Amino acid sequence: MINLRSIKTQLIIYLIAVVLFFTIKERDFVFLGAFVISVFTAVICESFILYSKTKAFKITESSIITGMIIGYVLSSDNCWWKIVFASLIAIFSKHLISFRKKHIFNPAAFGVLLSIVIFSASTQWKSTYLWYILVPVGIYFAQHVKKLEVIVGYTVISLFLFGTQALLTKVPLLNIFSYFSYFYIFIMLIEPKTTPSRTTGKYIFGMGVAVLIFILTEVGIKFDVELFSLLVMNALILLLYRIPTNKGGAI
Amino acid sequence: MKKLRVFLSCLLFFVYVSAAYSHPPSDIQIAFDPATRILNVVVVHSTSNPNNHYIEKVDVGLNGEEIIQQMISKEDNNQNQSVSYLIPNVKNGDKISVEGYCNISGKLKKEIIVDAVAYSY
Repeated sequence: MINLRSIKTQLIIYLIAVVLFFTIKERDFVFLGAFVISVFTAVICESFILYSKTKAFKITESSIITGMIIGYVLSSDNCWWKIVFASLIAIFSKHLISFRKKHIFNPAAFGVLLSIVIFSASTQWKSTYLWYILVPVGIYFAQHVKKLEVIVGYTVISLFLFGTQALLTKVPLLNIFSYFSYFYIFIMLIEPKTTPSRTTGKYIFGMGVAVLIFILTEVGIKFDVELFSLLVMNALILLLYRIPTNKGGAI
Repeated sequence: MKKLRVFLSCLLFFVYVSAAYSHPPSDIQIAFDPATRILNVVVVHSTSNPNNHYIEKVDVGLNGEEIIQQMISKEDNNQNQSVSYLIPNVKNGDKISVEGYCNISGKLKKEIIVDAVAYSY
Protein backbone atom coordinates (compact mmCIF):
# COMPACT_ATOMS: atom_id res chain seq x y z
CA MET A 1 0.00 0.00 0.00
CA ILE A 2 1.38 3.39 -0.99
CA ASN A 3 1.34 5.97 1.76
CA LEU A 4 0.99 9.31 0.01
CA ARG A 5 1.51 11.15 3.28
CA SER A 6 5.03 9.81 3.56
CA ILE A 7 7.53 12.45 2.53
CA LYS A 8 9.71 9.75 0.96
CA THR A 9 6.82 8.58 -1.19
CA GLN A 10 6.14 12.15 -2.23
CA LEU A 11 9.79 12.64 -3.16
CA ILE A 12 9.72 9.42 -5.20
CA ILE A 13 6.60 10.59 -7.04
CA TYR A 14 8.21 13.97 -7.73
CA LEU A 15 11.40 12.40 -9.07
CA ILE A 16 9.48 9.98 -11.29
CA ALA A 17 7.31 12.80 -12.63
CA VAL A 18 10.35 14.85 -13.60
CA VAL A 19 12.00 11.86 -15.27
CA LEU A 20 8.87 11.28 -17.34
CA PHE A 21 8.74 14.97 -18.17
CA PHE A 22 12.28 14.91 -19.58
CA THR A 23 11.77 11.60 -21.32
CA ILE A 24 8.74 12.90 -23.17
CA LYS A 25 9.91 16.47 -23.72
CA GLU A 26 13.39 15.61 -24.95
CA ARG A 27 12.62 12.07 -26.13
CA ASP A 28 15.51 11.14 -23.88
CA PHE A 29 15.02 7.41 -23.47
CA VAL A 30 18.69 6.98 -22.63
CA PHE A 31 18.09 9.01 -19.49
CA LEU A 32 15.10 6.85 -18.62
CA GLY A 33 17.16 3.70 -19.18
CA ALA A 34 20.04 4.87 -16.99
CA PHE A 35 17.56 5.97 -14.35
CA VAL A 36 15.95 2.53 -14.28
CA ILE A 37 19.36 0.83 -14.05
CA SER A 38 20.46 2.95 -11.08
CA VAL A 39 17.18 2.50 -9.21
CA PHE A 40 16.98 -1.22 -9.94
CA THR A 41 20.57 -1.78 -8.77
CA ALA A 42 20.12 0.18 -5.55
CA VAL A 43 16.87 -1.56 -4.68
CA ILE A 44 18.18 -5.07 -5.39
CA CYS A 45 21.39 -4.42 -3.48
CA GLU A 46 19.65 -3.04 -0.39
CA SER A 47 17.02 -5.80 -0.45
CA PHE A 48 19.75 -8.41 -0.66
CA ILE A 49 21.66 -6.90 2.28
CA LEU A 50 18.51 -6.64 4.38
CA TYR A 51 17.54 -10.20 3.48
CA SER A 52 20.95 -11.46 4.58
CA LYS A 53 20.41 -9.71 7.93
CA THR A 54 16.76 -10.39 8.64
CA LYS A 55 15.79 -13.22 6.26
CA ALA A 56 12.88 -11.09 5.15
CA PHE A 57 12.46 -9.54 1.72
CA LYS A 58 11.92 -5.81 1.84
CA ILE A 59 12.11 -2.92 -0.62
CA THR A 60 13.01 0.34 1.08
CA GLU A 61 11.96 3.79 -0.07
CA SER A 62 15.39 5.14 0.78
CA SER A 63 17.08 2.76 -1.65
CA ILE A 64 14.68 3.87 -4.39
CA ILE A 65 15.48 7.51 -3.66
CA THR A 66 19.23 6.84 -3.62
CA GLY A 67 19.03 5.11 -6.99
CA MET A 68 16.90 7.92 -8.38
CA ILE A 69 19.29 10.65 -7.29
CA ILE A 70 22.19 8.77 -8.87
CA GLY A 71 20.14 8.49 -12.06
CA TYR A 72 19.68 12.25 -12.07
CA VAL A 73 23.27 13.19 -11.26
CA LEU A 74 25.32 10.75 -13.33
CA SER A 75 25.33 11.27 -17.08
CA SER A 76 23.04 8.87 -18.86
CA ASP A 77 25.70 8.13 -21.47
CA ASN A 78 28.13 6.67 -18.93
CA CYS A 79 28.79 2.96 -19.41
CA TRP A 80 26.03 1.04 -17.63
CA TRP A 81 28.49 -0.54 -15.21
CA LYS A 82 29.61 2.88 -13.92
CA ILE A 83 26.01 3.57 -12.99
CA VAL A 84 25.69 0.15 -11.40
CA PHE A 85 28.94 0.72 -9.51
CA ALA A 86 27.71 4.07 -8.14
CA SER A 87 24.46 2.51 -6.93
CA LEU A 88 26.21 -0.47 -5.34
CA ILE A 89 28.76 1.71 -3.55
CA ALA A 90 26.01 4.05 -2.37
CA ILE A 91 24.08 1.21 -0.75
CA PHE A 92 27.14 -0.53 0.65
CA SER A 93 28.30 2.75 2.21
CA LYS A 94 24.98 2.92 4.06
CA HIS A 95 25.54 -0.44 5.68
CA LEU A 96 29.29 -0.47 6.12
CA ILE A 97 30.17 3.10 7.11
CA SER A 98 28.02 3.97 10.07
CA PHE A 99 28.12 5.64 13.47
CA ARG A 100 25.58 4.99 16.22
CA LYS A 101 23.62 2.83 13.77
CA LYS A 102 23.24 5.71 11.31
CA HIS A 103 25.16 5.89 8.07
CA ILE A 104 27.68 8.71 7.93
CA PHE A 105 27.79 9.68 4.26
CA ASN A 106 25.05 10.77 1.92
CA PRO A 107 24.78 7.49 -0.02
CA ALA A 108 24.10 8.95 -3.46
CA ALA A 109 26.87 11.54 -3.13
CA PHE A 110 29.28 8.85 -1.97
CA GLY A 111 28.47 6.52 -4.85
CA VAL A 112 28.61 9.20 -7.50
CA LEU A 113 31.84 10.77 -6.23
CA LEU A 114 33.61 7.43 -6.08
CA SER A 115 32.41 6.66 -9.58
CA ILE A 116 33.84 10.00 -10.74
CA VAL A 117 37.16 9.55 -8.95
CA ILE A 118 37.78 5.91 -9.84
CA PHE A 119 36.19 5.59 -13.28
CA SER A 120 36.08 9.22 -14.47
CA ALA A 121 32.30 9.01 -14.74
CA SER A 122 30.67 12.20 -15.96
CA THR A 123 27.72 14.03 -14.43
CA GLN A 124 24.74 15.78 -15.93
CA TRP A 125 22.76 17.03 -12.89
CA LYS A 126 19.52 16.57 -14.75
CA SER A 127 16.71 18.97 -13.87
CA THR A 128 18.91 21.33 -11.93
CA TYR A 129 17.67 24.16 -14.19
CA LEU A 130 14.09 23.64 -13.08
CA TRP A 131 14.64 26.09 -10.23
CA TYR A 132 11.05 27.32 -10.44
CA ILE A 133 9.92 23.80 -9.51
CA LEU A 134 12.85 22.73 -7.35
CA VAL A 135 12.75 25.75 -5.04
CA PRO A 136 9.13 25.50 -3.85
CA VAL A 137 9.13 21.69 -3.90
CA GLY A 138 12.53 21.58 -2.19
CA ILE A 139 11.46 23.99 0.53
CA TYR A 140 8.38 21.84 1.09
CA PHE A 141 10.53 18.73 1.44
CA ALA A 142 13.10 20.52 3.62
CA GLN A 143 10.41 21.78 5.94
CA HIS A 144 8.88 18.33 6.30
CA VAL A 145 12.18 16.66 7.13
CA LYS A 146 13.06 19.62 9.37
CA LYS A 147 16.16 20.65 7.43
CA LEU A 148 15.20 24.15 6.35
CA GLU A 149 17.99 25.52 8.54
CA VAL A 150 20.55 23.63 6.43
CA ILE A 151 19.33 25.45 3.33
CA VAL A 152 19.22 28.81 5.11
CA GLY A 153 22.77 28.38 6.42
CA TYR A 154 24.01 27.32 3.01
CA THR A 155 22.26 30.17 1.19
CA VAL A 156 23.34 32.95 3.54
CA ILE A 157 27.01 31.97 3.43
CA SER A 158 26.99 31.34 -0.33
CA LEU A 159 25.47 34.75 -0.93
CA PHE A 160 27.98 36.40 1.36
CA LEU A 161 31.01 34.72 -0.22
CA PHE A 162 29.93 34.92 -3.85
CA GLY A 163 28.45 38.40 -3.25
CA THR A 164 31.75 39.70 -1.96
CA GLN A 165 33.51 38.12 -4.89
CA ALA A 166 30.99 39.62 -7.32
CA LEU A 167 31.56 43.09 -5.86
CA LEU A 168 35.32 42.70 -6.08
CA THR A 169 35.24 41.41 -9.65
CA LYS A 170 32.47 43.84 -10.71
CA VAL A 171 30.09 41.08 -11.76
CA PRO A 172 26.33 41.72 -11.44
CA LEU A 173 25.13 40.54 -8.04
CA LEU A 174 22.20 38.66 -9.53
CA ASN A 175 24.67 36.37 -11.29
CA ILE A 176 25.31 34.75 -7.92
CA PHE A 177 22.09 32.81 -8.18
CA SER A 178 23.26 31.23 -11.38
CA TYR A 179 26.11 29.49 -9.52
CA PHE A 180 23.71 27.53 -7.33
CA SER A 181 22.99 23.90 -8.06
CA TYR A 182 19.34 23.70 -7.10
CA PHE A 183 18.97 19.93 -7.35
CA TYR A 184 21.94 19.59 -5.02
CA ILE A 185 20.61 22.09 -2.50
CA PHE A 186 16.99 21.04 -2.36
CA ILE A 187 17.25 17.29 -2.91
CA MET A 188 20.68 16.12 -1.77
CA LEU A 189 21.77 18.58 0.93
CA ILE A 190 18.73 17.95 3.11
CA GLU A 191 19.13 14.17 3.40
CA PRO A 192 17.72 13.55 6.90
CA LYS A 193 19.98 10.85 8.30
CA THR A 194 23.36 12.30 7.37
CA THR A 195 22.71 15.85 8.57
CA PRO A 196 22.59 17.12 12.17
CA SER A 197 19.30 17.03 14.03
CA ARG A 198 19.81 20.03 16.32
CA THR A 199 19.13 23.55 15.02
CA THR A 200 22.64 24.90 15.56
CA GLY A 201 24.16 21.84 13.97
CA LYS A 202 21.96 22.23 10.92
CA TYR A 203 23.04 25.83 10.41
CA ILE A 204 26.69 24.91 10.88
CA PHE A 205 26.32 22.06 8.43
CA GLY A 206 24.80 24.23 5.70
CA MET A 207 27.34 27.00 6.25
CA GLY A 208 30.23 24.55 6.28
CA VAL A 209 29.21 23.05 2.95
CA ALA A 210 28.94 26.52 1.42
CA VAL A 211 32.37 27.58 2.70
CA LEU A 212 34.00 24.40 1.44
CA ILE A 213 32.41 24.70 -1.99
CA PHE A 214 33.57 28.30 -2.33
CA ILE A 215 37.13 27.57 -1.22
CA LEU A 216 37.52 24.44 -3.35
CA THR A 217 36.05 26.15 -6.40
CA GLU A 218 38.42 29.09 -6.02
CA VAL A 219 41.38 26.81 -5.49
CA GLY A 220 40.48 25.21 -8.79
CA ILE A 221 39.73 21.66 -7.70
CA LYS A 222 38.91 19.67 -10.82
CA PHE A 223 36.21 17.36 -9.57
CA ASP A 224 32.76 17.70 -8.18
CA VAL A 225 33.36 20.05 -5.26
CA GLU A 226 29.73 20.02 -4.19
CA LEU A 227 29.60 16.28 -3.64
CA PHE A 228 33.02 16.31 -1.99
CA SER A 229 32.07 19.17 0.35
CA LEU A 230 28.87 17.41 1.32
CA LEU A 231 30.76 14.24 2.20
CA VAL A 232 33.39 16.15 4.18
CA MET A 233 30.68 17.83 6.22
CA ASN A 234 28.93 14.46 6.69
CA ALA A 235 32.14 13.23 8.28
CA LEU A 236 32.55 16.37 10.37
CA ILE A 237 29.14 15.80 11.91
CA LEU A 238 30.86 13.24 14.07
CA LEU A 239 32.79 16.13 15.62
CA LEU A 240 29.62 18.19 16.01
CA TYR A 241 28.16 15.39 18.11
CA ARG A 242 30.91 16.03 20.60
CA ILE A 243 30.01 19.72 21.09
CA PRO A 244 27.74 19.96 24.12
CA THR A 245 24.70 22.27 24.19
CA ASN A 246 23.05 24.13 27.07
CA LYS A 247 20.35 21.47 27.13
CA GLY A 248 22.89 18.82 27.88
CA GLY A 249 22.81 17.13 24.49
CA ALA A 250 25.07 17.63 21.55
CA ILE A 251 24.86 19.65 18.36
CA MET B 1 3.98 31.44 12.03
CA LYS B 2 7.71 31.92 12.27
CA LYS B 3 8.32 28.87 10.08
CA LEU B 4 5.80 30.12 7.57
CA ARG B 5 7.63 33.43 7.38
CA VAL B 6 10.94 31.69 6.78
CA PHE B 7 9.29 29.50 4.16
CA LEU B 8 7.75 32.44 2.31
CA SER B 9 10.91 34.52 2.56
CA CYS B 10 12.95 31.70 1.06
CA LEU B 11 10.38 31.17 -1.66
CA LEU B 12 10.24 34.84 -2.61
CA PHE B 13 13.97 35.09 -2.39
CA PHE B 14 14.48 32.35 -4.95
CA VAL B 15 11.51 33.13 -7.15
CA TYR B 16 12.98 36.60 -7.60
CA VAL B 17 15.81 35.01 -9.47
CA SER B 18 15.24 34.98 -13.20
CA ALA B 19 17.97 32.63 -14.28
CA ALA B 20 19.49 29.80 -12.35
CA TYR B 21 22.10 27.40 -13.57
CA SER B 22 24.34 24.84 -12.05
CA HIS B 23 27.75 23.54 -13.07
CA PRO B 24 26.68 21.84 -16.28
CA PRO B 25 26.10 24.18 -19.21
CA SER B 26 22.54 25.44 -18.98
CA ASP B 27 22.17 25.54 -22.74
CA ILE B 28 24.08 25.10 -25.97
CA GLN B 29 23.08 27.29 -28.86
CA ILE B 30 24.09 25.80 -32.20
CA ALA B 31 23.96 27.55 -35.55
CA PHE B 32 25.26 26.07 -38.78
CA ASP B 33 25.49 28.22 -41.88
CA PRO B 34 25.24 25.95 -44.95
CA ALA B 35 26.66 28.67 -47.21
CA THR B 36 29.90 29.19 -45.32
CA ARG B 37 29.85 25.77 -43.59
CA ILE B 38 30.72 27.48 -40.35
CA LEU B 39 29.36 26.03 -37.12
CA ASN B 40 28.83 28.63 -34.41
CA VAL B 41 28.36 27.38 -30.87
CA VAL B 42 27.58 29.25 -27.69
CA VAL B 43 27.85 27.17 -24.53
CA VAL B 44 25.89 28.96 -21.83
CA HIS B 45 27.63 28.44 -18.50
CA SER B 46 27.46 30.93 -15.68
CA THR B 47 30.54 31.20 -13.53
CA SER B 48 31.85 33.34 -10.71
CA ASN B 49 35.42 33.02 -11.85
CA PRO B 50 36.08 32.22 -15.53
CA ASN B 51 39.70 31.33 -14.72
CA ASN B 52 38.85 28.55 -12.27
CA HIS B 53 35.38 27.44 -13.29
CA TYR B 54 34.90 27.20 -17.03
CA ILE B 55 33.94 25.10 -20.04
CA GLU B 56 37.02 22.94 -20.45
CA LYS B 57 36.03 20.87 -23.47
CA VAL B 58 33.80 21.09 -26.50
CA ASP B 59 33.12 17.99 -28.58
CA VAL B 60 31.52 18.18 -31.99
CA GLY B 61 30.01 15.10 -33.60
CA LEU B 62 28.77 14.52 -37.13
CA ASN B 63 26.19 11.76 -37.53
CA GLY B 64 27.28 10.19 -34.27
CA GLU B 65 31.02 10.30 -34.93
CA GLU B 66 33.26 12.71 -33.07
CA ILE B 67 35.02 15.02 -35.51
CA ILE B 68 36.30 17.85 -33.32
CA GLN B 69 37.51 18.02 -29.75
CA GLN B 70 38.71 21.31 -28.35
CA MET B 71 40.23 21.82 -24.91
CA ILE B 72 39.80 25.25 -23.34
CA SER B 73 41.62 26.66 -20.32
CA LYS B 74 39.37 29.57 -19.34
CA GLU B 75 35.95 30.91 -20.21
CA ASP B 76 35.30 33.90 -22.49
CA ASN B 77 33.30 35.70 -19.82
CA ASN B 78 31.08 35.05 -16.78
CA GLN B 79 28.17 33.85 -18.89
CA ASN B 80 29.23 31.70 -21.84
CA GLN B 81 31.90 30.22 -24.08
CA SER B 82 31.74 30.73 -27.84
CA VAL B 83 33.49 28.58 -30.44
CA SER B 84 33.30 28.35 -34.23
CA TYR B 85 34.44 25.63 -36.61
CA LEU B 86 34.61 25.13 -40.34
CA ILE B 87 33.04 21.76 -41.20
CA PRO B 88 33.37 21.22 -44.97
CA ASN B 89 31.81 17.78 -45.34
CA VAL B 90 28.32 18.45 -44.04
CA LYS B 91 25.29 17.51 -46.16
CA ASN B 92 21.69 18.42 -45.90
CA GLY B 93 20.01 16.19 -43.29
CA ASP B 94 23.21 15.47 -41.38
CA LYS B 95 23.08 15.50 -37.61
CA ILE B 96 25.54 17.74 -35.78
CA SER B 97 25.93 17.24 -32.05
CA VAL B 98 27.80 19.46 -29.61
CA GLU B 99 28.81 18.54 -26.07
CA GLY B 100 30.07 21.08 -23.54
CA TYR B 101 31.92 19.98 -20.42
CA CYS B 102 32.32 22.01 -17.23
CA ASN B 103 35.81 21.64 -15.71
CA ILE B 104 34.32 20.96 -12.28
CA SER B 105 31.30 18.85 -12.97
CA GLY B 106 28.59 18.29 -15.51
CA LYS B 107 28.10 18.26 -19.23
CA LEU B 108 25.35 18.94 -21.72
CA LYS B 109 24.72 17.68 -25.24
CA LYS B 110 22.61 19.30 -27.94
CA GLU B 111 21.96 18.33 -31.56
CA ILE B 112 20.68 19.90 -34.74
CA ILE B 113 19.74 18.51 -38.13
CA VAL B 114 21.34 20.47 -40.94
CA ASP B 115 18.80 22.09 -43.18
CA ALA B 116 20.17 23.75 -46.31
CA VAL B 117 17.20 26.10 -46.54
CA ALA B 118 16.64 27.12 -42.98
CA TYR B 119 19.41 28.57 -40.87
CA SER B 120 19.41 26.17 -37.96
CA TYR B 121 19.42 27.39 -34.40
